[in-house]
Amino acid sequence: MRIIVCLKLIADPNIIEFDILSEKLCNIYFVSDPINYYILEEGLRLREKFGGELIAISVAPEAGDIILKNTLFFGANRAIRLWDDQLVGADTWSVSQAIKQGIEKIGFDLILCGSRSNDTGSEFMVSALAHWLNIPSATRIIGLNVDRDNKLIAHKKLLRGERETYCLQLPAILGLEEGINEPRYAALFSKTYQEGLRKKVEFFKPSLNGQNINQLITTLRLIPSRPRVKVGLDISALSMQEKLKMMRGELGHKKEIFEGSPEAAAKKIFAELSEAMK
Amino acid sequence: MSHEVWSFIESEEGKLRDTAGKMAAESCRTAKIFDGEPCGVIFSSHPFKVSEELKWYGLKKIYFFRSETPLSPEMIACSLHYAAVKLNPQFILFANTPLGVEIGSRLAASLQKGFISNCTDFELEREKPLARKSIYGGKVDALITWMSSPPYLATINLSALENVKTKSNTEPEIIHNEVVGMVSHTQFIEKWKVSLSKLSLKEAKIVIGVGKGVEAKFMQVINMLGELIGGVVGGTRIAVFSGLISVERLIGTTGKWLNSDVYIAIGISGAPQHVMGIKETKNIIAINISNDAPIFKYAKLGIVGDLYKVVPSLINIINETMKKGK
Repeated sequence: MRIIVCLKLIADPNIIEFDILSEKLCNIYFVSDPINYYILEEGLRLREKFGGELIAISVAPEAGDIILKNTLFFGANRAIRLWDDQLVGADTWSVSQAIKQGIEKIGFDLILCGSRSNDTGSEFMVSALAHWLNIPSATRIIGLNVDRDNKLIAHKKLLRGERETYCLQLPAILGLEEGINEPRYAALFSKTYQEGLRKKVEFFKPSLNGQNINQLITTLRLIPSRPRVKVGLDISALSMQEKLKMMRGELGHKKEIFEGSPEAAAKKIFAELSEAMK
Repeated sequence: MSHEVWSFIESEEGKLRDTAGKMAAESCRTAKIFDGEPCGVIFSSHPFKVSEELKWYGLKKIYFFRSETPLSPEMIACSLHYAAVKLNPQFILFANTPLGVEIGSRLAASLQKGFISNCTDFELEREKPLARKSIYGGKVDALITWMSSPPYLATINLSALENVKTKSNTEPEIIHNEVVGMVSHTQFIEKWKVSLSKLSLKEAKIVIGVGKGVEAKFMQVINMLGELIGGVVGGTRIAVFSGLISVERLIGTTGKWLNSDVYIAIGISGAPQHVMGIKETKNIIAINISNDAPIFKYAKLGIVGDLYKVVPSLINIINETMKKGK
């Protein structure tokens, strides 16, 4: 079985900061997306079970070599970086075209992606790739088994603790969710680490022309975040104090402090709860 | 080009899901910003009657797609593709649910149009539509615009959606459509729910938080309340240290950050580290004996009283109503 894992290089969302005066992001340090470890672990487990090879790919500039080299230490067979200078500032569409070309060149039985990245998180990639490659897909996967006939049994995470189980025929593409497994450590000087040291990250330049580098969406500028304006609310008519309240998301919230008998209090709580309990 | 704003209204087994009304309201809100016509799109494999509820959102048209076979995201995206090519709406909006995102991305891929997911707001600037999206974990908002021609595709953040009804009801025009078949590659097996004891705090709809004010003997009652209302029991760091709850159930900066509809804080004063974890919650109900506890600043309903009396009487009331219901 040939498994491809798609990884992403992101700016660390924990330490990145937004400078209001220059309207730009600062403190940008590129790290491996936390979801990458889960994807890689799932790929390694499947390879241990069924044999074959595991190939890590990523669309990234040269800085991306670090995360791909890391996958070799964990035991990936090959690591390939895809890049073209036209991809600077490209949207998800163009990036997905680059990935598609890379995947088609390598050939695959199973593609593992993260369902969404931790920076912009558009969730577009898995379904779009499935559409173009015309293969079965499932996103937000929280549990994965393979049965005897090489069929994938995938548990999809829905909202509020609901799950759905799907059966997929290989070749397929899956979007994994954080928490699907427990990522391993690559011990220093272990056998896989030694082998990884000897391997090199390969490079592949996708041939992008006018048709598949079509910029469909573009970010105009960055602004400080605020909760959304309620329907029928005129911002210009608000006083400064109300504006501050809106920024904190406190505008229009009714508050009640109740002091009284426990029975009356319990009735009040029940009235609040009854809608959520439906 | 028509100026229709389509919003995808999710239904399940002939019934509307809880995002349905919010999406209908969203369609009207967006239509107001861009001077368009609000429309709804419903797919159903069951016979379906547009209920009284949907009339209160001011929708002008409802495109209804009826299918004999069970629907899959591929089929819905394929039918929406043909409908969008034929009628050319200005917007197609989805809720940011697993189904909505999957259909949206597939539709964007087949139509070759721009797709912006998890938007919180729309704006009009120099006659160009802009979408506001929160990135890097809410640290900053990005203003994104579509470079492609309409339809503009977007999914809307679930916490941004609001259920706003109009004052008068309107009878939407219902237009019946055919589902264009496309066989799904994925085979659906079953739908199930995670049991309450294994459910993560982040996924729970109702969460009960316990703090220093709760004694270990009383946890039995709290757990009973949790089972009755379908809520998961979590708590503060002090509750973890005193053995009331396990570490996975810690709420706060170093624990879990909630995303629930209701949070009931029992015997919690509201230290900043704890409040950090509950700020995304929509409704906070606090029970505390001291009336100057900081938690009351954040609570929608604050009860000043003895929790050892309030909680048992709450359980009594719930039990009574359940009996009446049966």
